[in-house]
Amino acid sequence: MINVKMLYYPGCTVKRNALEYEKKTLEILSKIGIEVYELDNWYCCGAFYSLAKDDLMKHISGLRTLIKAQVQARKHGTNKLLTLCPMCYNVLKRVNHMLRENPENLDTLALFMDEEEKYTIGIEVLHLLEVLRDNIDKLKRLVVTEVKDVVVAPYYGCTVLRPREIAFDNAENPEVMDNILRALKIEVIEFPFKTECCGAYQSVFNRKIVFEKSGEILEEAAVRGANIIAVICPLCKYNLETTLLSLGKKLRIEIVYLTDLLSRATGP
Amino acid sequence: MSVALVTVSRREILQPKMVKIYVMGREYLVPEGLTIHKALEYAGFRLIRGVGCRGGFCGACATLYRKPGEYKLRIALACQNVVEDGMYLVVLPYTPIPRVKYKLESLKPDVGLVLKLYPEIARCVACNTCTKACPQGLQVMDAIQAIKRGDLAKAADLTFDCIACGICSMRCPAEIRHANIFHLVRRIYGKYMSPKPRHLEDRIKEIEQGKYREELEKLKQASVDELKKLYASRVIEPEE
Repeated sequence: MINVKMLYYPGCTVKRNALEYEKKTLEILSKIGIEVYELDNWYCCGAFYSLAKDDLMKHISGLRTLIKAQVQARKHGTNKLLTLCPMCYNVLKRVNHMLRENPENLDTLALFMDEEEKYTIGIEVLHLLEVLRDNIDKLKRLVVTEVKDVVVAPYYGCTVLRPREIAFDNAENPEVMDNILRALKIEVIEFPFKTECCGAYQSVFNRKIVFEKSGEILEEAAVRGANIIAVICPLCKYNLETTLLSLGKKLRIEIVYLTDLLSRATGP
Repeated sequence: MSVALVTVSRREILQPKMVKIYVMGREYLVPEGLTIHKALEYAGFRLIRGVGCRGGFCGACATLYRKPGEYKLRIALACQNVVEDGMYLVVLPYTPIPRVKYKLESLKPDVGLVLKLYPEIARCVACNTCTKACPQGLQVMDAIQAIKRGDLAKAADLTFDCIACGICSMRCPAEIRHANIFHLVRRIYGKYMSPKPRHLEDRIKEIEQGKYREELEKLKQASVDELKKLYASRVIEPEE
């Protein structure tokens, strides 16, 4: 098997709250022949993509991460930068896109960041879902057990599919995750709430909003007969789980990372 | 090898070359080669703020200056850097970076802890201005980023030489209280993460058990001459 190399940007949330997600993901990637190199001494991605067009300062964090990737890309011989966290994906990919579309912004930032080498916009930011989608045949071959008694509602969240210029699937009705799960013979339901908002960072300011939004997602999944909601985002998972707890034992549903399900199907 | 003799005339000693500096906007003529502190004293200032050890360790004399024709805001320690012609300077009397209260004994050493005590680290935009402002040449932003990454050992290591002058905090757009955060991180590292020195613990136990009491008593009674003799004949561990 020809191994594909990738740089890997974990981000703070994965390293703090989603180590299990990382572990299972790296196991699966290694099984499909992807060599992953975690960026040395990675910086914060910036956490949010700033929408103010004249406030370039807010993009420095993302740009520094891309430059770090550029430096380490030479060492490892790959320009692919893998992300697991949809927020990191969103920020890094959008900063990359913005710089490509507006080279004058890159010049302005380069003047300020005179201690760094210049970014040549050569890094390709990838999300885990894209990588799994492109390796679906290899995944199929890895299946060792049928995952029984599981009915999955795939839940995508928002930041891997929006805005359009960074999306790798239809933002209204994405099917990447559905297809991956089906390929592994895992039962998937039609889930119209797959891109509904979970409440996102309102968990910090107003939990009622999170309980309301995530509550709708949970109930719809349960009504449609799912007993698992598959997620790819630590924040979605957190919001869905805290909402589930707030509901007591009303719903019999589990929130699980996609790669956890893949690892159940492909064995240890 | 030939040695060039430098002759210094009496005139040069009595009338050193003077440079012009501007202290808080006012012009002073001071001798070339003085440190900023000494130049201030030469100009008649009595130093009661913005001065400490005068050896480059305490961080009390954070100084900001600009040079003529330059936009760049430069930094210095007034006790370590010498005056330059045309310098526009101010020695900061104090940097307000209040410390958060915590009990080291009851802390849990993880990244969430630092974020909880000093939430502003989440606001770092990675501009690296702090690093450019550090008179110790530390990788300040890298240390903040290491904390955000959860690598407290790395942050403790990167900030070992921090003298808490506070200039980075004054320059930081995210208003991070660097010196106190680094202090906290090094304390956590020392208490919870660095390997315990066995020999130190053994020695403390020995002291507590009174192993050296008798010897100390003897020293207390000894005359000055005896002490001098003992001191001269002491065994010193060889340096590596």
